[in-house]
Amino acid sequence: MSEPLLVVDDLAVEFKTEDGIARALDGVSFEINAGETVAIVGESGSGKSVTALSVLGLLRQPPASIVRGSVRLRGTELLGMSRRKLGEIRGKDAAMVFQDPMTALNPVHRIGKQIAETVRLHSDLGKKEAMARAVDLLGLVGMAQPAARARQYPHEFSGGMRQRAMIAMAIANDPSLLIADEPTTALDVTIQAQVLNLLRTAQQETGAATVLITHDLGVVAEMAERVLVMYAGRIVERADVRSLFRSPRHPYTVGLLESIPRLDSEAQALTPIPGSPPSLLAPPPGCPFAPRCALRKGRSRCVEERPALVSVGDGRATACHFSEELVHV
Amino acid sequence: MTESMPADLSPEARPALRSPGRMALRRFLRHKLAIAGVVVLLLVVLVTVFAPLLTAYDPTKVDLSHVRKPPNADHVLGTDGSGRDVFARMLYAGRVSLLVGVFSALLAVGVGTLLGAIAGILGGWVDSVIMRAADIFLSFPVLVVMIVIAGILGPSVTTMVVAIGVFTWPEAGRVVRGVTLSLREREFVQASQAFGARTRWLIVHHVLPTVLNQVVVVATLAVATGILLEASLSFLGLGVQPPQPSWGNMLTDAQRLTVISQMPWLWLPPGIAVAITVLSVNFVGDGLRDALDPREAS
Amino acid sequence: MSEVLRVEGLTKHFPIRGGVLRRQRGAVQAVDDVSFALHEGETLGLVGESGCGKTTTSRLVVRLLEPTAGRVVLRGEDITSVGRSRLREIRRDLQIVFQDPYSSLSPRMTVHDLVAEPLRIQGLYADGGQAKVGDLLEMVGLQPEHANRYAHEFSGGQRQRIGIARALALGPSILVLDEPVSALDVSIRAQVINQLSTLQDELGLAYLFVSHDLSVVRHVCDRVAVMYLGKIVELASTKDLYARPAHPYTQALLSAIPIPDPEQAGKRERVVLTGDVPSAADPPSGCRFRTRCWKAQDICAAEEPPLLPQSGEDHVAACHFPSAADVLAGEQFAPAVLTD
Repeated sequence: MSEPLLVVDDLAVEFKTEDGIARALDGVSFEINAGETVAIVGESGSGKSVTALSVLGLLRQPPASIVRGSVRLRGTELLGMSRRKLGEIRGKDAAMVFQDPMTALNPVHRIGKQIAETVRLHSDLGKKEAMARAVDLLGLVGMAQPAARARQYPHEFSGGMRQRAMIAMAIANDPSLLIADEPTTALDVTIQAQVLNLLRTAQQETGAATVLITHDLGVVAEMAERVLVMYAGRIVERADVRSLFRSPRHPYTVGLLESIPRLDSEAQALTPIPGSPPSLLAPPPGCPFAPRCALRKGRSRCVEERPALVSVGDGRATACHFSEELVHV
Repeated sequence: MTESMPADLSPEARPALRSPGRMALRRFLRHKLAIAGVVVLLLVVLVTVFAPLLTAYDPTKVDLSHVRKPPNADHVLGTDGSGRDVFARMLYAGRVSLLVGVFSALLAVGVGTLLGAIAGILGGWVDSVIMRAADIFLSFPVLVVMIVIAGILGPSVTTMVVAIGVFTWPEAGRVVRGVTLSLREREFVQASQAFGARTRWLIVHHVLPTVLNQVVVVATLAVATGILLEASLSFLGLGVQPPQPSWGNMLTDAQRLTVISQMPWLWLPPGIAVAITVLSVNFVGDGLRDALDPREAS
Repeated sequence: MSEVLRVEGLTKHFPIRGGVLRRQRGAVQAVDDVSFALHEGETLGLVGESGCGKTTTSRLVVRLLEPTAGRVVLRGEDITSVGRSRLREIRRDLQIVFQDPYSSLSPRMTVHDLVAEPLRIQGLYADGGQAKVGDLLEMVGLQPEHANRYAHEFSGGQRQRIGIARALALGPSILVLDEPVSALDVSIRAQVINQLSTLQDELGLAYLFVSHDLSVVRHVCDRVAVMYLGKIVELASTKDLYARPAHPYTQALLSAIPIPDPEQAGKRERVVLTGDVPSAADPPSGCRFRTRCWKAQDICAAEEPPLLPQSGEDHVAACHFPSAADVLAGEQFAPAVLTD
């Protein structure tokens, strides 16, 4: 078995806020293998975006601070790396696609120039060749008349087109790791479908491993091979996509699946998860999901002892003391 | 049907009561300079209010036998060109300066808030007219205008307060207009409209409370402007007239080189007084601005 | 079922002004000739993507915006240009809940004041107002003891409930809900949806449910109207719309939404619409959808299709070449498949 591309080990991140220290990530560990598509699912406060930003060294420290842990890309430790060296990796080996394209696109430069610049930063190509590659990339991401588009500014593009441009920039240097943070959340449904297709194309073109961060289980089902479910700064379940949906092994996953309205089924009463996601300011000693958990049934172990993420076979893992009770015959 | 909220998620579990007022206070208290400013200002106010208790001298009493004496046992800060006690004059002068500063600020902010709110809410040509007026007022060099006014109407404290107030309203006006305009689009204002709220309700319950924060900051800084303007005008002889003391007219003496170089007790105290007071007001204004920052409130 | 609200030919054009004299140069046709009816106790969904005009329509219905043309009829009374005092009375019957629970509640008011505000505005607070506020909070599943807290101390879902309690304060029988759960976390949405359902049963409310989320709409609505670029392109019962959509845009929409079921992923035919939505300031002639439609013919550019009856009760679609297909079950509906 080949070495995994990305290894994250016991990553913990804290944020200094007006009300105290918030534990955004509380010991997160996972691996990404070359070429695979993994989805990280979670709601606000789950830590999914912080994970992505930490991996690429994009967290502003302060107010964030990486308390412990390690992030290794192809064996090289990324945490604590100098900004210069990180800059060499970002955009070349590992690239990121954001929710808001305007975080990556400079409004005062033409799109073609920005993409060409990324290319030149990480290669020996000259101006002309880099621009030609930029135009190629725009064509690859499905933009009509790419040469003309390359000469335009971001504000002349629609939302969907900006996303395409950002994806073009991300794959410009053939990264081996592509992280997409809620790339379609702000987009209309029909545009979302286009962009998801694009991401698939991008992955095929580059053979990159893709980490897709989202809260939309539909997107997960469409795109991912493996899934990591996050809650309150921890990974609570890990499984391949089919198993996750067919037989979830964590009460939060169960709750999510039962509470979302489905497009393809008749209206039934939804079973909501009571309460709301916890505050990250004072993480309880036990399981963070305990106050809302239907499986807990008043058992004290859940609030006293934090469940570790344990393997349950077939590459699956779950962080629940009583996960066996979820197994259906 | 009541959903029972898990104990650790209910508002009880959160820290202190989080009213916007308390949060603002907390933010203010983090500004050391602002706290220093408050302390100094309080001192200045107390000292000027209780002036009769702090000095036995009458600030207007002329004593030609003790003209321009340096600080000594009898006169803590010496005497001025007419033999009057400098320390006493400085204390009593503070009253005038503070009064002018505060009242002119109130006038400026009052006029500015009213005009700004009207401009923001009514829009259209009313807005244009008011804003052009503001531009006109802003384009005048204030000091020159006041000199002219003082020349025409004769110098007095009232003239000064009115003149300063009338010429510094555009600042508050612009701020209030801006806030009003942005408020019109806020959903909670639309919500009130959906309940049938009339314009007056919107102004009283939504515009004014929101505007209050910014206006307080503008007002504080207007006080500083007022004090400085008063000092300038009185220095030029167009403000507070002797024998009534004012920090500004105490500095009038310092127009002569010999006074400046050889009799620092005549001009240093009022100069420092003005500087400290204005600085403190500015620090407090800065602190208030950060504490009441509208971005925080939303 | 009796009709409580009807909208006829509702139109809203926003003028585009330009030049030194700010002359009108054109108009954004945000809503164009929209008609539908809402019956007692039913939930009518208004769906579409951004820019389709659904939010503008919601504002027009409650007269937070004035229509350029058309009528709004409330229980038989034309309220389109009714005077201010009558409008205030009407507002007791027709209320709106906004999308964003963060910006629709004033940060300066306590929960109690927020919910009491409509009562105070209408002069109804003096008589038992305090108790009523407590009742309303309980009705939406909040604890009345928290009424002296500020809105920002609550979570998104709770804030939305506060917004709902406030909208119910005047005792309306019709609620316009503008994307009430879109801004909420996924695990909270079901709570609020269920709450709305319960309230509807308890109070006999009629809902106009505006949303871009077709999954939520399916669960909540009895009938659905699909909007595109200011026009209604299809209107049907929920059952019919999801089982036999007839308009190509509806079909494309349904096919584009990812379904949370990996077994199905990749099995459905998915039509990925090319291009972007045209500008509402310069909409295409004839059928506005024709620039992205795989069926477009000459007639589509020449003649705007009216809402024509389809098979199925009260099912209409505005298309010259409608053909119903069970998109969700994987029935093929686009001849030239425009997938990846």
